[in-house]
Amino acid sequence: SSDEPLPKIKKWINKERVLVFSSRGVSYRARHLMKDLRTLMPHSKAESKMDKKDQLFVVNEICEMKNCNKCIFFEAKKRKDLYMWIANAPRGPSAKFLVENVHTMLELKMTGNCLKGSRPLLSFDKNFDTEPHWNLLKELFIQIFSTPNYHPKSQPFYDNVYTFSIHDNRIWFRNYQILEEDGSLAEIGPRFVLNPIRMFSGSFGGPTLYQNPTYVSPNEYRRSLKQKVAMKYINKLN
Amino acid sequence: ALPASIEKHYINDVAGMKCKLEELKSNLDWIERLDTTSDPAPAQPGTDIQGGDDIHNDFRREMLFYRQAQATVLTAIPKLHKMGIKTKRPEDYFAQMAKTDDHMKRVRERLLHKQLSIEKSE
Repeated sequence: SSDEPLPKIKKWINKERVLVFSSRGVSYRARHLMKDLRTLMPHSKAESKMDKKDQLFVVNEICEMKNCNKCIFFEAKKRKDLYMWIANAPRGPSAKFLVENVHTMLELKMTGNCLKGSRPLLSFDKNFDTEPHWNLLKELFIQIFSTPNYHPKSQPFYDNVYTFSIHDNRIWFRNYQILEEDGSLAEIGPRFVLNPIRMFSGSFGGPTLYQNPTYVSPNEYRRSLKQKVAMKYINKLN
Repeated sequence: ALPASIEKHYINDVAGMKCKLEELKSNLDWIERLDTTSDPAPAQPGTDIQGGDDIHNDFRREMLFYRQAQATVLTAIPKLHKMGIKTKRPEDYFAQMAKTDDHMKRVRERLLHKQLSIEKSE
């Protein structure tokens, strides 16, 4: 209880800092997702939106200026497609994903809640140990999403779990509140699905380490949909 | 023009990735990371959740994630207790929450409204 004397301040050794920001032209949904990540990660830093004209490697310089050694960068294209980069700046590796099925924390369906800045437990699917690219992504996720112990803005209690699961060649993210320690949970949000596109050995560049063979770009996907509609009449005639 | 069916080459540099992983790895203790790799916890008796391709069935998929989180809680929390770390927030500890009180109030109102409308329709 609160009558007890305050324990001695323990050491904060893990000085991980994550820069969370986006390019100009992101949708409102992406902006809210970004806001959610910033709320959930006390070790994150914000930065104003980056101009589209700038080259991506400029992000490395911004990270250095902000004293961050990790980065989550949201890139919007065509005002509807959202891409997410995660990177270990400045040495790499980095990975680029297409973000699908975003649901933000502000949605009313999710009843869970947690302390702002409490340190999450990270839960990974067994599939993360099967292939080298999943292995590497797992390490990146751990270093980015785990809040450093004794971080000044963190809370000393454990009341939420992030789950990362691989299904359908994509990574599914969920965030749950621990209601009881016997394993009853309530979802907090946000939700998103990351479809890996490419992994690089540098930060925002460098030689490619992995390319996802099953990835279909949203442009191609829309094109195939349109083509299906276009062929409708011709198919009818035949 | 190029022929339509060029076989595309996909890079998968296994050695490079292993090398990067070694470089990236830090020698911090588990308490700094809090990661757990777990299979989903066993399903509640009475629910029919079998294997197979569940991914396109929303309910089953969410259940799978829920059970995975459950398995993690059931391994990680005892591990923290063993290290002598308190995990539960005391009743009299108040701090800012991730979602505001106003938001949580609206969530509750929505649930209540939903329940009422179900009762009315019965």
